[in-house]
Amino acid sequence: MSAPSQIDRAVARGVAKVAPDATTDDARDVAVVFDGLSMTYPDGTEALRDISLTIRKGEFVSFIGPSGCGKSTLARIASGLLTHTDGTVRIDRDHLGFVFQEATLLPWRKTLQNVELMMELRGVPAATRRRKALEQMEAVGLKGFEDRFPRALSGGMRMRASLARSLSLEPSVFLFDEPFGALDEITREKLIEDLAALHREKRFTGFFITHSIPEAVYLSDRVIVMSARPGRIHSEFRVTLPSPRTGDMRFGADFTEGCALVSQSLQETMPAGKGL
Amino acid sequence: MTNASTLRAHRPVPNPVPPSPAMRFAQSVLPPVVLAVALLALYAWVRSGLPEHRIFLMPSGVDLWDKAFSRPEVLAELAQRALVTLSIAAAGLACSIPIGVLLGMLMFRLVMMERAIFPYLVALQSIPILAIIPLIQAALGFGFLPKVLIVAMFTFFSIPTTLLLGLKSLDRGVIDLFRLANASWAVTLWKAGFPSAAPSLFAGLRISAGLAVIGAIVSELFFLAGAGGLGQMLINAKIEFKYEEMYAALIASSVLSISVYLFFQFVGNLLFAEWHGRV
Repeated sequence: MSAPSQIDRAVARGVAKVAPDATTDDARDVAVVFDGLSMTYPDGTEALRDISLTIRKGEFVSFIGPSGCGKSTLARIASGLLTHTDGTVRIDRDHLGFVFQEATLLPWRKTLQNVELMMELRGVPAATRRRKALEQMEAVGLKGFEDRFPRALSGGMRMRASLARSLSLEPSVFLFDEPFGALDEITREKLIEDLAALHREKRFTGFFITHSIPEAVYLSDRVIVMSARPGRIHSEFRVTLPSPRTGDMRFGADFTEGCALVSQSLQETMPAGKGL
Repeated sequence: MTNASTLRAHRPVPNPVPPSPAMRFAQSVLPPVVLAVALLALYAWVRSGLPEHRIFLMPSGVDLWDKAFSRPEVLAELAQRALVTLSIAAAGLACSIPIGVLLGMLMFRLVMMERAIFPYLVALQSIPILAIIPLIQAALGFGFLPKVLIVAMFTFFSIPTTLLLGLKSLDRGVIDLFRLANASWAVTLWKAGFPSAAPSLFAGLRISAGLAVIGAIVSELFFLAGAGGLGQMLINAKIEFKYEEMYAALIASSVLSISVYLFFQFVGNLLFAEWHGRV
């Protein structure tokens, strides 16, 4: 069941389809490499098949796909929380940030102590981690909330605290597993803009998993569309919208067309026949 | 739409006037007071129906005061015996809490240990402890130690089980977080496991605390030699036909049991009120 689309070309004004697995020439520029990576769970579920992808330093790449396409599995493999069963992954795990869908703050610690947690576990001296935690809380707009317990923060603020906790490690690669999925639309848009600003400032490599096409297009240099079970790379898009992106860009024709192009590709990954 | 007669007006309801502080105080204090008065009245009514030769079973308030609570020697005995009972209960908890916590940790660490130990914990819980007291007496004699063992057996079950339950409910995301930081198992247990399991563990401790005093008194019922606690006083008062003193010992036991319970409740609240709300 394919809805008629106005866009029948590979290039919209905001987004261009590119050949998958576009590798860079310079190895020093590379932050993450997946090479023929596959993952089969012990129960026999094939989650990922033959993923090959190179992410350059400072690049922001979004992964989008139907649920069950293994995109979370890919992030967990990149972080080392899971181990793949075939192929290779190359990444610097000593400078890794990871933000989950839930803020996963410890409810018995005040927000400042929560932001300090990862540094504490990695043995950063108390004075240094206090200073860095305060810096990062200010960077994410949580100044003044240091002594609040997590339950006294809103959902958006908790997610900001979670961001600050990862930022305090000054990650070179930053993994996001649907971080804004549980937030309301208004909070989410603000957080997306703030994340884009943080990325411009800190130039980390972004590895962003999402269900939202506009979110992916707005934030990314590249959008990877994955197909479901086993998860494979279906198509790849380069976002050609100018940087820095601004909030009102979201309503422009380039942006909308770009989203439509990605959406069309996403439709192709859905199994034919029964709709949802 | 078509038929206006189906529309019905729904009146607004103004917010109720908030109760005054005095009213709120009365609302929270009066119900238990009223119930207490009702229960006392019931006691008096049942007592009034007793035949003359059985009236000793339910002493009057005046007798309770005259023959027990107004007498310094009875009060001194109550205090001294309560202290003995409390020390048995405390010593029993001092055995069951650390061993229980260790066992809970062990079962959390190794699923094999959980599989091995858990059925026996349940079995221990279902053994009628009273039935093995004679065996304990035969093995350990009539001193302090067998009573402590009985209390430990009474209070043991809820500690490893509530700790294990609390540890198992630790958020998977938090475990992932600690793994990302390469934190050791011990660090994860100390910084995430215990704080997360603490409310559950304290619920277990409150249950154990209440049982500890009961266990201590029960153990004393079987050990009448030497200077015992409130349990011994209960039996002695019965033998000597001093039912007012028996009631005094009963009341003292209840007060002791409730105090120990409240103590653990207080410690729990002190630790967790800030982030978990009242336990």
